[in-house]
Formats: sequence, structure tokens, C-alpha cells
Amino acid sequence: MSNQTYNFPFISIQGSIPLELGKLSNLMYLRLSYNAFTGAAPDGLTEMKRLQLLQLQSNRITKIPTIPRLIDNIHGQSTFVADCGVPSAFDEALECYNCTMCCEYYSAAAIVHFDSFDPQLLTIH
Amino acid sequence: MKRLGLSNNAFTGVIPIQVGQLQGASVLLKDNRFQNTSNTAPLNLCLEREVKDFDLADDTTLCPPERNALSNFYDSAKGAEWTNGSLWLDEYASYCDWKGVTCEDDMNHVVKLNLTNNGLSGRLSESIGNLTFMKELDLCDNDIKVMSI
Repeated sequence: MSNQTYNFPFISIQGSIPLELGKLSNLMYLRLSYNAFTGAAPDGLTEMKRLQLLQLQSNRITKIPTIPRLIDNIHGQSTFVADCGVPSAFDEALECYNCTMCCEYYSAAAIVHFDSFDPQLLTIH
Repeated sequence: MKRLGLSNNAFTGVIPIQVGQLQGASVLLKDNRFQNTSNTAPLNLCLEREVKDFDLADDTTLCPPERNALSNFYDSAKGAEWTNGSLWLDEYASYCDWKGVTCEDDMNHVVKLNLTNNGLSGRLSESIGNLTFMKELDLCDNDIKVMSI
């Protein structure tokens, strides 16, 4: 018999989304979902004039800047998705003031279109 | 060796990998004919990881800044542990051929980086901000769990 311990380490990209990401002025599609990013998403995201798609769901992002242009996207393609992370991967609950969805209520795979976005429905306090 | 001074000659062709491995040396290769082809210098030399300094490290033909940025990204995201890191950090292969990297046809600017579900961990390097031509960044689905003993 052995005393071996079985670990199930969480492999993922961690830490904050770097501010420097805001320098990518040509960026159209940004998908960072299903990782372990933490902290606030950089305000520089609002400076990305060409951004059409932003997916941040299933991380631990606590604050997301308002990006009106994505809301008004004329092509109806924009998705702006963020939530509180995969519950099984993190022990404590996350205080998230402007998450668009949370795993406790919605499938992590769900995509919220701003066409049907209702902040009262999707924000938890 | 502390100093390899070969400036002001007519050297051409490919700079050997071994030049980048001269521990602590200053490498001086200015005013030769290395830039006459599209060959890049060895990555290790450009990053000045083993040499103390390289006088052409800022030459964008020999040491493309986007290759340096991708290299930093690789190190921060623990590239050695990726599921597929094909050609990444190869001393000579074009960074446009590194797994998941897509370049524009003519100018070798990185326009897309797609490393979904590829076992990335660590952190997202701030050097990502130097890939200013990028249109698409896709790093999702890297929250895999592996069993280790």
C-alpha cells in the first residue's frame, strides 16, 4: 500500500488580463473563455475600435468595462459574455457586480446576445 | 569568449546557432550582408538569452519584434507544457509557421493567434500588446484538468 496523494491540478491561464491587450487596436475577435483569469478586465478594451466579439465566460473576472459599441453592433454578432467562473474550480464565491451571467443560474456554455440582454435578469448582487 | 567582433566585413548567409550560445559575450555583426536575404538571426541570439548583447537585436529583419513578442508569450504561458507547441521557439523557422499563428501573406504580421484547448497555463504575457496587427486572439478552453501522481 502506498501513501501516494492524487492531485488534480487546475491547468489554465491565470492572473489578470494584461493592460497591454488594449493596444491591439486591430483586434476584432477576442476569446479568453474557459480559463482562470482573475481581477478586472482592462478598461483598454473600450479603446478597441474594431472589436466585434468578446467572450470572457468561465473565468474569475470581477469587473468588465462597458463597451457600448458592442451593444449597438449592427451585425447582431456581438457577444459580450462574462461570468463568475466554474464553481467546481474555485472554492469561494465571487463578488461580481456586472457579470452578464453566472454559472449558478445559467449554463457556462450559453451565449448571451445583447439583443436579448436584460441586466436585471442576469446581474447578481 | 567576451567579445565576438565581426563588424565591417562581407559576411552573408545564415548566422549560426552557436553564435547565440556564446555565454556572456558581446556579439558585434554590424555592417555585413546578413540583411540581404530574408533570413532571420537565431532566436536565442535575438532574445539575448545567453549572449550579453547583440548589436543587431533591434534589426527588424534579422530579429522580428513579433517573433520576440510571441516568444515571451510562450514562456509566460508555459509553452514547454503545451499539448502542441509545434515549431514554437525554433531558432530559424518562421514564426508564421508556429502552431496556431497565422500571418498576413506579404508582411509577416501576426493577424491571428489560436491556441484553444492546448494546455496553456501560467499567465498571459504583456508582450501580447506588441502584436499590434492581430485581428483574432483565441485562447479559450485551456482549463483542462490533468491527473498527476
